[in-house]
Amino acid sequence: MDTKLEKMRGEIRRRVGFAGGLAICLALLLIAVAAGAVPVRLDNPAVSEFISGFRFGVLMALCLYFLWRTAVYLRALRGDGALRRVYNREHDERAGYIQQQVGRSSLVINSALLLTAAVVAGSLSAPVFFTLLAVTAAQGMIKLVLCVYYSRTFTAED
Amino acid sequence: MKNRIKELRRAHKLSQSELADAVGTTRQTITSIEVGKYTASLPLAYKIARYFGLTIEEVFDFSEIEEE
Repeated sequence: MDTKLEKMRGEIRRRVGFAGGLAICLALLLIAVAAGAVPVRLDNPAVSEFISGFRFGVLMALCLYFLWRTAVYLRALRGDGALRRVYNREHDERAGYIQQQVGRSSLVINSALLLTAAVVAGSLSAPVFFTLLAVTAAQGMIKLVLCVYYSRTFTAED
Repeated sequence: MKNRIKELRRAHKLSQSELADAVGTTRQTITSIEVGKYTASLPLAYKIARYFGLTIEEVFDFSEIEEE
């Protein structure tokens, strides 16, 4: 277990660097966007304003998320107990099983939603229709490739 | 799957968190196993049984599987 914990400590240190660095980059980008260095210039000013606000919100949310992750990882480095709890949480078999179930269900639901959106959008815009269709096809292909990969990974030949 | 984890835990005066830490899992997983909402994997079942100094069969009830 100690070797695993030491590995985990190294992994958490890497994550602190990654999440902290990303939070700083996002904060700088946020400042640039707020200062108007990267303006959105579209024909419709209302749409431009909406996209500008949306972009600011997304950057702000991402920045806060990575700051929070950095704090979580730094807390895990305080002692063996905290690190062990993080290790157990990340390697918990039930959590892994839940993730598998969520992934399996959401893939089917997403595909159905994308196809519905493609059918609805098809009557309004051809580019949107083909984009949604392409995304649905890509999702299906990814599932197929992953199925083949994992079938081979978990199959032993004599 | 029925099991004796709660009974054994109480006999050893252990909280769910303490058992979870000892066998390398989370408190939520121990709760789910205790109430039969989740079936432990073979390695986790082994760790739990070994922690109490028992065999897997002494902790987990396999009668339902045997009936199948």
